Amino acid sequence: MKKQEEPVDAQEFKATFETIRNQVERAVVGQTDLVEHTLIALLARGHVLLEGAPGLGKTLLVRVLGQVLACDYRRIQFTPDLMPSDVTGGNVFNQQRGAFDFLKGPVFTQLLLGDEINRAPAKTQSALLEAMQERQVTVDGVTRALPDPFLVMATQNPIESQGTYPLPEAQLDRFMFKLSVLSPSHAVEVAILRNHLAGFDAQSLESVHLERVIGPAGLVAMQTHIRGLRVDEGILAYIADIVCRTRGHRALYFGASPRASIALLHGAQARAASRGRDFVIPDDVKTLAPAVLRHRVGLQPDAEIEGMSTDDCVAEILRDVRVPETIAA
Amino acid sequence: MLVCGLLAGPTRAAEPAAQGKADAGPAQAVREAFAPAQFRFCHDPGYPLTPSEKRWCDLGAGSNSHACPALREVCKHDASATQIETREFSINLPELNLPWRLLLWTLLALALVVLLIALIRHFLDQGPRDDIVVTQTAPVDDAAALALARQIETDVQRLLERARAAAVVGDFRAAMDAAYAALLRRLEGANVVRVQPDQTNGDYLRAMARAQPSLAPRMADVVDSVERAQFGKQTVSREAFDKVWSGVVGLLAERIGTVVSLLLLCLVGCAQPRADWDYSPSGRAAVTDFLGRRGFKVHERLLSLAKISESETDQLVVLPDANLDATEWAAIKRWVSADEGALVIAGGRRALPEWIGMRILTAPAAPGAQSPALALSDSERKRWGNLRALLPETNRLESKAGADTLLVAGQRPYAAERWLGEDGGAGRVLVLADDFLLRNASLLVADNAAVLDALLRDGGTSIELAGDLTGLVSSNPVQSVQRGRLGPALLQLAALLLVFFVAKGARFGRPIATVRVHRREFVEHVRALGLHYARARADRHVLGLLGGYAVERLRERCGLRADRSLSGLADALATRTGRPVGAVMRLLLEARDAGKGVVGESGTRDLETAAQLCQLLEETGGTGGRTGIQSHV
Repeated sequence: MKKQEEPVDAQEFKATFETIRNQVERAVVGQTDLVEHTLIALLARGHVLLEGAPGLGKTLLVRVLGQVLACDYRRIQFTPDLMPSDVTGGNVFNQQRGAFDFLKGPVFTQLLLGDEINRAPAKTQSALLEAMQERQVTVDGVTRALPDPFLVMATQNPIESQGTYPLPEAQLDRFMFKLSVLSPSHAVEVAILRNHLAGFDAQSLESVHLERVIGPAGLVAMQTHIRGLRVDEGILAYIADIVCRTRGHRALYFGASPRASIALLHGAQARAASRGRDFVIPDDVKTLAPAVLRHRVGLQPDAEIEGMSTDDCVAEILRDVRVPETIAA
Repeated sequence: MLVCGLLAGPTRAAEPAAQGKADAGPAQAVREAFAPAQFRFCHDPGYPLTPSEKRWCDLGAGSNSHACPALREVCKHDASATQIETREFSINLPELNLPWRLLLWTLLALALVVLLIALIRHFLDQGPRDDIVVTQTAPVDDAAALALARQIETDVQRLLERARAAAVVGDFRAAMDAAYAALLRRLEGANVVRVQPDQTNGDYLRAMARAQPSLAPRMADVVDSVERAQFGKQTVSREAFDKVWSGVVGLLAERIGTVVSLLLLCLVGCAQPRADWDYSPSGRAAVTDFLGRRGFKVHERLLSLAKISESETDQLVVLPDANLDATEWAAIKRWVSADEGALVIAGGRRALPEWIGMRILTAPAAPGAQSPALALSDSERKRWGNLRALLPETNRLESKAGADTLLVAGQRPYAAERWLGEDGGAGRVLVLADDFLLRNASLLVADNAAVLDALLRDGGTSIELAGDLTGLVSSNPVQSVQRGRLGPALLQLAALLLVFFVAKGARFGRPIATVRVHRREFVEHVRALGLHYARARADRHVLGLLGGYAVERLRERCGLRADRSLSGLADALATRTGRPVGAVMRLLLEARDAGKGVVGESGTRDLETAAQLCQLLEETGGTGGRTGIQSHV
């Protein structure tokens, strides 16, 4: 492990971020945007909802992150019969002591992968609500704090909808980003095959010799660092303008909440820090806006029939909003 | 150094100026000529001189403090400047023979006509827009108006000038913004970026990376500095601005290579390379002004000298950079021989025609060699008064028979005149070995101004200067195209426009997306409504409505009255469809319960029930219309 101490300045932050990303991309090939957005969410204390077909490296990403960041990670496969206590844990009677012991569930980890989250019923999904927002779990009236850092990466398969329980809006709003995991291009596919030919085994990451770049303490220090980044008044107005326009858009029947604004703000701070800046620029906001907003708005059925997507709406909004300090008329 | 002593004829020197601004004495005229601030070497002690200009200092130009107060200080500095020359270029296109020319001109004419028709049609199609509402904007204060004006400035040169001006007064933030805006506008002009209100600097940078990957890192440096000022609220120092400025100008120069950008860079940067040649010590602006004040009418000739005979001028002064061909020399000879005007040749490296009768020797003097003192020829000594002229060392004249030497340096003539007429009284040709007497700095030295005045006074008051621009001007656009040999290029352009017009039609202004009128099918409305219900988690309610509708239709199809129980209906349906009675009964009960608001098992189960009801309706005679309920449930 190279560093545990707090990053000193913007350039050191950038260097650490780059190192983490490079290490992750040694194993997760061809998913540059996914890796970057996930790291930004992690630094901004957010959670990520991944939408993509199976086999695109979502689980691998969490495992690699855990190894590079020296963090604990767990995986929960969500199924229709999964109970809330299977996520949070529960009290088990200890016959020897004659008392109940709390058996921690898989949520007590630093990196959590919730695979196919929409396969579990609503009450199990909502068990994650408190954990994601409050970073704590309450069982039988006793509240227990989750470790820090804490990142939930949930996946859902966009293809199959039979027998699924779509995440309610309140649950979706807990996720900072919704990212689409795209299928690799031909060149990337070849690179993946070449990696495997050279001995890469997704089940045994030791073969990759990943470097542990930073530990949980260092990660928390980085998270603290980004909250101190300068955000100009114009940027705040830009964020508010974007989010407010989702509420009155003709193709949306509900818009994003203030939580979206906050997510956009912190995401932009994290992105700025990852590029070695100590201030946020409009490009940080504009780049992250689709990932922040696409799952927080509801598309009108008319618009859906016309083939529009929430990404189209967000892009339209971004085209309408004036960037601060622009020279254009 | 040449020392010229001239004796001015008292009668001629005393002649009042016939025309001109004023009849000022030479010294006063020189003072007035150098008064404008454009002559920076007379008003700015930090003005840099070129090495050749520095020679005027050695002749005492700096001592004329009345006319040129700052020159004394200017002369104390080293000669560190270099004169910026405009770059010459030419396009040589192949000459076409007559048939081809006719064909191409015809094509060009056709293309122009087609273009004209297209334009007319385009504007005729544009009727008055009644959907445009002009709103009265709220009054804004001056600061806001200024800010708006600053935002929408799109001219690159004005933006650069604004940046330079802001930097001069110390407003480096505004200067930086203006410089960056200039860069963006230039890139927009080159179709690299699209300057729009929604575009971030990152968008511009990515566009640049796509179009010019090699320049993107340099632009990234500029953008970083600009954003640090804009969003990091860092105070913009002179160094930060200089960094952005050099980056912007470097990119502009790389991108377009304009001389203007280079000039502005020089003005803001080290300020050693210098422009404004006309107002420099080597220029001629003061000479022109001086002569005007002495009663002459001086203007630069732009038309070709081949038509000199049509000119009303008294004297033609051929400067060293005039580029004359044989036709023009012949025209000049006819003009001078006919005693229509006088010819003054002021130096130059050209070979003079034989009929001039003199030759300019341009062999440079040995370094450090002292030039021989000038002396007046004896024949001229009585004609001119005691005037003293000093000039730097350069050329000499080789005078042939028939020429009268006015000034001599050592044994060689420096200035001589000759009369082309048979009687020796018509067609004056005056040849000077160089053009130093026609330089701004020359007026500040000794009696050079008076000498120049005296030399030209004999030829009349109307003077045309023939320089590098002479003959480059065309009298009409066709001639301009012809001279520039741009005919083929224009024709190709016209052909391209024609092809574009044929292929795409007239596409002027902003393209407007075609409005696609799409009439939705009924099933799409149903689907949209279904999505609304699904969002509202109203599947139970939908099942209730569908159940009521289905039961009613099934009763009709089975010929049962409305008061018959569900069991009777179930029996009839089972008989008709061959389904088990129990299954049909369960289905009908679920439909009824849903209509009564009884809570169901799950949304999925409700959908299954609805699908089975639709199936039942289908089996008993269709779903009741072309709604396609079955397939969409």
